[in-house]
Amino acid sequence: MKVVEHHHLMKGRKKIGIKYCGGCNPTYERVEMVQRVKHKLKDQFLFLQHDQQNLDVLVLINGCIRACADKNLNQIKDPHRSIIRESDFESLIDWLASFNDKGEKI
Amino acid sequence: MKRIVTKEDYIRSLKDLHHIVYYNGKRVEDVTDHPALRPHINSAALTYELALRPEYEELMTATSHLIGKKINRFTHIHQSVDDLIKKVQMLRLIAHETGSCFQRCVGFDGLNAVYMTTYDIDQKYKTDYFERFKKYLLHVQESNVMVVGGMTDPKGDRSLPPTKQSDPDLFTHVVERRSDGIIIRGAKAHQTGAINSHEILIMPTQAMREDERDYALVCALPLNAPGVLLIFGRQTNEERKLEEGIDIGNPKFGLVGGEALVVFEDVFVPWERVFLCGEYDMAGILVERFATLHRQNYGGCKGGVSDILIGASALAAEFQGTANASHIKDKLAEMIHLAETIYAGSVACSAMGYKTPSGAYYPDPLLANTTKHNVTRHIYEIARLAHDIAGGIIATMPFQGDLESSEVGRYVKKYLSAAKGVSVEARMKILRLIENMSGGTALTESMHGAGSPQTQKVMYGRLGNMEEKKRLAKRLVGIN
Repeated sequence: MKVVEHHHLMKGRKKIGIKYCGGCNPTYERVEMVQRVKHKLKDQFLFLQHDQQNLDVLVLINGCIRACADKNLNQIKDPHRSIIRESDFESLIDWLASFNDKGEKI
Repeated sequence: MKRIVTKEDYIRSLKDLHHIVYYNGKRVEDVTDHPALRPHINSAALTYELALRPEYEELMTATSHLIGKKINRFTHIHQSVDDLIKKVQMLRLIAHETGSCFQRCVGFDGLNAVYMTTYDIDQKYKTDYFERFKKYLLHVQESNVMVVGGMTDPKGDRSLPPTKQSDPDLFTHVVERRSDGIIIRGAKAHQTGAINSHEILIMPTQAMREDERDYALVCALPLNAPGVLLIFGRQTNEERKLEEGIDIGNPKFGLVGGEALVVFEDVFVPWERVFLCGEYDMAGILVERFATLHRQNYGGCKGGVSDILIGASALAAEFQGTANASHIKDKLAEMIHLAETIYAGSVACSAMGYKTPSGAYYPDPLLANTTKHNVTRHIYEIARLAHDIAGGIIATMPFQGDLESSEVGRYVKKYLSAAKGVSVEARMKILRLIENMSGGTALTESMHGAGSPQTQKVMYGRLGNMEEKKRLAKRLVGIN
């Protein structure tokens, strides 16, 4: 029964993968920012780990300008956005909101 | 052993270990339940917990070159310069969580040093230590046990070699060779994390000579093996760990690593766990490699611990109303400079690392030694500046019990109040944290952990390329 409910909830929501850098000396609270994104977009997105299959978009959460999560960026096929500072939050929300229900850029 | 995944698995595994631990003359039946030992266990437990969190997996985990699976980085053999740098970054991030030592790097460095050296021994002597060690490494990676790296012998009279000591056990040695294994006797001193590790990887304490073959020994054994006992070392303000609350300073994670004297009283080690036995001429290179790998670390973990001490000092200044004084700003800037300098050293020796014949990567030894040498100075200076900023109050502040007293509590609140809006309790917490992190045992560990300053200076003599420096000077002024 729970599985049915889960699939029901997933339907219509785009799948977003979250990939973090290592977090050695971040300049802002990375996990807290992701929590805010989740809270704001929970109806439109299903939040998954970055190594899941069939993602619609990928968000790279870096703790600083060195952007270690962006390594091997040329191998990433899904639409992706790299975050390096707290002030990237609003632009990330705008970018995610620009995808339609099929995960296509509007 | 069942694979340890979570911190709960780790703590349960320690309960099941039933190893013999003494604290202040009394046997500890359950190390996980002892208030003086639990903070160190909490620190080490984070090496398991953080590895499961997506926001740290990039640093806290690695892919085993033996089995191709994700493993805890503390069981990994460095496969690249990137691995060496990630090690340092990982140490800084864990230190941000604990504010103290989390102990597991010693075994990590022992595994890497023994891996690359057993390969070289086999090349020279056609032995099979490397294959034996790879099987042991696989066991460590798959079970995710915590291994303490056991190098430092008690050493007795430092002017005498092992064979001339009045008591031969002052250096750990082989007392009997049997068809199925060896019997060892001796002790390892200052063993960080030993009381909450599962196994010990024993290494020689120094280079050995031909008549010291019995002291040229590398082997691994469980800490609950018959004949092994551990005596926990007393720390600064030790009794405060038996309390709860403010006066401990860092209530959850304690102070440095929780070191112990580990005694081996005729302990049997099967041959499959023996990785060097009698090849005395290889002891020196093993010691040098372990020391380099361990000295590489110190700008990472001490850099991370310093970040917290700097933050605490800045808060103490804010709480006391001195934050805007120019000399306070200058001292905080100096503390950042010192912390980032040691971190830079650790990153630099990693970036200049190289591949050994075994395939494992190794940091630049001269830069690693320089980094640790800076730690012996910079951490003391950072602590001095923290004391300067915090003020004499860190040495004279009343007990938490006074703050909470119905008789004198109102006076503590009245006369320890400072900047508007700051509670006396918050001020006391920060000042106690500074006291905890900047005095006594915390400083000594920075001086002698991974080797005393003189051991680093000895390495400069060997690695400093003095003849080239003289040649450069002569060339510049035209001396033939």
